[in-house]
Amino acid sequence: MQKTEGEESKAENEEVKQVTLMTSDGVKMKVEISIVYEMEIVRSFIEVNDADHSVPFPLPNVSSHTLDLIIELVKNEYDDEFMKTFSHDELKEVLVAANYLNMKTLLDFIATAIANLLEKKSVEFIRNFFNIVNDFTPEEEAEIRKTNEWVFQDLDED
Amino acid sequence: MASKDEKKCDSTKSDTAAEEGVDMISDLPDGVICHILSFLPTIDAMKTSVLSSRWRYLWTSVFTLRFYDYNFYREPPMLHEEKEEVISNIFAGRRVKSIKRLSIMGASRNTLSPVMVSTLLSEAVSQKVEEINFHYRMYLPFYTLPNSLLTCQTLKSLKLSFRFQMFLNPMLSIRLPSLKLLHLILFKDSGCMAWFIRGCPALEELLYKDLFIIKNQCSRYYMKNITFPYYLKKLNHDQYLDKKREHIDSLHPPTQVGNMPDLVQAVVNVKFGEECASMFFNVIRQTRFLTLSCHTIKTMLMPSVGVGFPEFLNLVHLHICLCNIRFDFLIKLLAKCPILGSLEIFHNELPYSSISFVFDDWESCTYSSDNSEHREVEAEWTRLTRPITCLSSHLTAFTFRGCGLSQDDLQFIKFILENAKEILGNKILSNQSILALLDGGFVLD
Repeated sequence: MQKTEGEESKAENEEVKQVTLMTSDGVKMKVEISIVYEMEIVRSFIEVNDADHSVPFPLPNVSSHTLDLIIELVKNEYDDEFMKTFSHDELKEVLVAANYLNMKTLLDFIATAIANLLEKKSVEFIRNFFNIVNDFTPEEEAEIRKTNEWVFQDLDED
Repeated sequence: MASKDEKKCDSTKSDTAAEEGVDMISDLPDGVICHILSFLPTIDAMKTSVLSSRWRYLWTSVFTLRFYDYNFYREPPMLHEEKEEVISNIFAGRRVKSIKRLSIMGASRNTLSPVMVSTLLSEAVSQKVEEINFHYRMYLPFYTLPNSLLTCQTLKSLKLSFRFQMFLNPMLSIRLPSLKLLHLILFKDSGCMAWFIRGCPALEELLYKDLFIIKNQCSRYYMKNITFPYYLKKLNHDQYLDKKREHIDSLHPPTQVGNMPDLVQAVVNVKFGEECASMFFNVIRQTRFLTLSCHTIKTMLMPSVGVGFPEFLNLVHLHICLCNIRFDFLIKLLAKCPILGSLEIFHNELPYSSISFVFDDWESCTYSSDNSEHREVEAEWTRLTRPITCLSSHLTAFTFRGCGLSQDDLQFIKFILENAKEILGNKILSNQSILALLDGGFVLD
């Protein structure tokens, strides 16, 4: 994947079809059409308008760094190991971007990974792990636990 | 709900926490958090309600319900009444009144009773369910699916996996007009398959497997009832049979009419009787993707199968699992696939769980490398001169995975590489074995 400044006419003649995307920080990136097609929001636009692929498609909510990560993830066929190298911030940005771009496979992939971190864990463990600040008073928390008492009774493993 | 005053004093705390480590998850949009929660068992999703006020009601807007048996594991064991109460609390607590997907996995005593399961299924149908995954491995003979499920208008995907016989009421008819995907993993078919298929006019993808046939001798009765709808797009027919079954010919061909013109993908793990293999392959000959298991290949080696074996005119991707193959057969198969673009061979390793069976089975098999027929074919192999269309014009990807390559393997790899080298170019998906070969100067030029 290359970043380009200004040249827009070449794209169509390339052997591998590419679409130019413009990220929130103003970077134009040429992306293979197979990857772009996973982005439902872009795909539907291209298909409906039969658009000139060289005109940059604006993605005001996605930074170039995030788009880089997404493209690498897709190219690596959603490699777990690669995703583990992400910082928390990066993971979150990719998740939000995947949601915005409507990339179903990517969204499911990351959501499943996060869900696996939550599964079978105690409330305290999850709070610590994600740095979630408990803003309930002890009384409030006790009350919530009481409404579904049984749910919190299990053998927590941390 | 938390009162606002109390939250304010906590907000200073939250700032300091943010400096030390940022909450990576709570400020995601509701929709994204609910999507994450949809991958959790519902009981675990409910637990998040106590994390913080942000999370208090998020679980109530999740469109997926999942119940796994380990969620109900307690010491001492839970009473039925307790489980029922949990379920009714879940339904009472949910804000969204629609269920997109319902998953029930039960394999132990902790799981839900059949009555509760039926209640869940019926409730899901009334909330316009689109997807049901129902894996139940408890021994519960004669379970009956609720009637409402069998006439659900919204259901698009149904995966049933039972370890007991499903009881069918022949007076009921199935009407599932939206159903596109059906997985039936059953114990003793007793007509289930045929019964289901009749009520699914929109079906595109079918996986069918009868556990009883795997474990026991197959009787004509069960196999007779298999009918695949002609309008399928994807078919996974998995019917691996026990090696001790003696009367292979009694395995009745699937009763087929015509072929499947829309078929795109077929996964075949069936040990056919001699007379029905050609018939079956004729039915699926339009497919673009084809996966054949080791023992399916083995049945295809039977002499009579070669006669009347169809051409796969649309086949683009062929994936084969092999053990101790005869490559002359493979080459004949390739000659039947004129536009094949990608060939994947897994040698001596199977993605199927029945792997040990397969090997046992092969040992006792009559096709051994030293019978006279094989030697004859070997001679034929070296004489092969007619070009194979797909090799000379279409094949762009070739994968061969295996350990411990035999002379035959090497010969076959060499054959493919030599005959398809112009098109394969640099795109050979090499594995270590092939790399080793290339290093050893074994192939090409």
